Amino acid sequence: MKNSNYENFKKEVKENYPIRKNSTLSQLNIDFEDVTNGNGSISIEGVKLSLSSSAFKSLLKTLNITDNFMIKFTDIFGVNSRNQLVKVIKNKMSTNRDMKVAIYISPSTKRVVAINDASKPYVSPEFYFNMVENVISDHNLDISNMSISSEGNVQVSTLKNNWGFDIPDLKDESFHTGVIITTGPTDDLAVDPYILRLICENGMVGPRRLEMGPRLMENNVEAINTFMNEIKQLGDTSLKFQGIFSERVGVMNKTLASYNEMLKIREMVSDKVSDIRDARVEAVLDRFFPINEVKSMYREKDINLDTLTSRHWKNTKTNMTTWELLNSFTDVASHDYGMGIGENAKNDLRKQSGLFMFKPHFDTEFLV
Amino acid sequence: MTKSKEVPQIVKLTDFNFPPEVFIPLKSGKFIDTIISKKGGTMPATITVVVGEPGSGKTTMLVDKMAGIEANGNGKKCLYISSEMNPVDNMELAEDLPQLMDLNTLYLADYENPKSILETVLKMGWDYVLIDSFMDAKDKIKDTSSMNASTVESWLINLMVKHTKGENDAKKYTAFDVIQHITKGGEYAGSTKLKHNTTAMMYVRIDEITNQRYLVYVKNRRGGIRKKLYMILENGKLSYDSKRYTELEKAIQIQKEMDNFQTENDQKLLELLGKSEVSDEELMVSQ
Repeated sequence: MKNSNYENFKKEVKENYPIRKNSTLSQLNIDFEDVTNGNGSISIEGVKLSLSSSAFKSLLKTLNITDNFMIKFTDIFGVNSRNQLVKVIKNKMSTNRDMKVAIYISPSTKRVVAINDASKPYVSPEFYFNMVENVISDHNLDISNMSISSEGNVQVSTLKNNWGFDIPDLKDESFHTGVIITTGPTDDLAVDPYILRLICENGMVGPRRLEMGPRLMENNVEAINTFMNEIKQLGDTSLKFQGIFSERVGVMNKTLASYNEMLKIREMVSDKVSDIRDARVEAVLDRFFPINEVKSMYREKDINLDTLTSRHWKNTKTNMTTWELLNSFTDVASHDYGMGIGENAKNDLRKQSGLFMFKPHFDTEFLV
Repeated sequence: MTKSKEVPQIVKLTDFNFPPEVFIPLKSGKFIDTIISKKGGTMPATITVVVGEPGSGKTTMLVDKMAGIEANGNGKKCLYISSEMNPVDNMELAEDLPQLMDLNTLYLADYENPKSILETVLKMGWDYVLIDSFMDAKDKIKDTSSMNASTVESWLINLMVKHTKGENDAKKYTAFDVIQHITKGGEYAGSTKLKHNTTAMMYVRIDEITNQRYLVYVKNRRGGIRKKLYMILENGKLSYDSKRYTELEKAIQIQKEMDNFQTENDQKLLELLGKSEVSDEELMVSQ
């Protein structure tokens, strides 16, 4: 990574870093009447600012409303009822306990990009980049990727050559680790382990839900001190992650992916492509996630998978191991196969691949 | 008894002529100097109340500091006033805390009229005095005089204040460290009067999770507050976790930076909104 690229990236982040405004839930008057924006708008200092879809999602999270519930609710009752429900829950919550919220506004689009709990620490870009530079110099890392999303979430991925390791069961493959350093309105200020599969340079973000890496979740002296100390121990975190990773690969190598898993991952990827109607895209997806081949395989046994439910699909073994499926996933998340998947979308897919790898158990893992 | 009428005096700082040593800290040479005052050490003409539960290490910490001030040279005169212990108790304590052996000590329990003894001894003039403890000294004076508890307390506080002004034979602007007991709930058990007449108030606490001891100022006119300094007591030897303190200082600095960043954000937002007459067209474009 050239230094000028890094400096340009810093400049880009500083220019686009969301501005945070602290408020309370009761002061947050969401206006859903404006038909130009389905996600609603809020007024700050008398100026109307529209909510992006990510801001609306983060608001739901702050109100403890799950995505799944809201999708189902909207399907049944429609957008107006959805908006009414959000208002009722917000008002009820602010009456019970008027929580402090942080509103993040993009300086370039002047839109609200996130609304979340104000207790979430928010650091300046200068602090973030100082941290990135210290981590890089303390552990002798190289930057492999940098991005800022439309919500203002920033991440810098790094790699270290002598943090490599092999897994006995996997011949001709070796892995390198690094760390991915994140911050932003909806992302944690965190330094998570990162694995790079060397055979084809597929990257994968370490699983956040295991909370492997140091992350700053509260704005108090003790939490900050713990976070800063944990950053110094990154080498240990990386080694610990390698152990867990190797063990998981062993399980994945012995577990066939379910049709449900293959289908869901394929959908995740197809959601990110520029034009799903493009036949070439379909062909690439088929190569990596061969659902048609699996369907044919079962059709020969007189089973039509299309007539079954997702519960059946979870018990339907495919001809790929979960490890192979994961590699397909990380492959399309790391390379350009002409599907028009942007860098931010690729980062998101890599994150999803980490979550897939460390899901509590695979669909067919305990199937007899 | 009627109080004599006090005459108000309006003064300027330029009216005072304090000797330079009033502003030179008494250094113990230990890391604790860092947190006591901005100048790094115990400042003359101050009264610090040190609060903590029994066994938390108040006496050990202060005796160690006092020994440090004496050992640091410059002929500083230090006095340890022990109202709770007798020489035999202290001799045994000195097995773990050998610094006690060479300290000038006044055992208040040895006297029938501790009030008069205290006046006489303090009149000699001392740079540093440690009173262990305020409550016990107060009780001993009350028990041996006709004064009630409240009057004794006022008298004792006034006596200390007098010596912080250099009103003694050696014209020493005495610095006092005063040990005070705590309530069962772990809070300061003394009077508001004592609290208000002090320059600083330090707590010696034991961390509930790690069981480690730490010092923290909740009031300090001469230095910082809320910064924890962890103590390590091993085989009777006291040391301070300076590394951890430095790390905590850095964390405090980071927290301040985060607060400042929020203030900057508030300003930036006003600027952004000031120039952002957001039109529907503009919103459509940004979508």
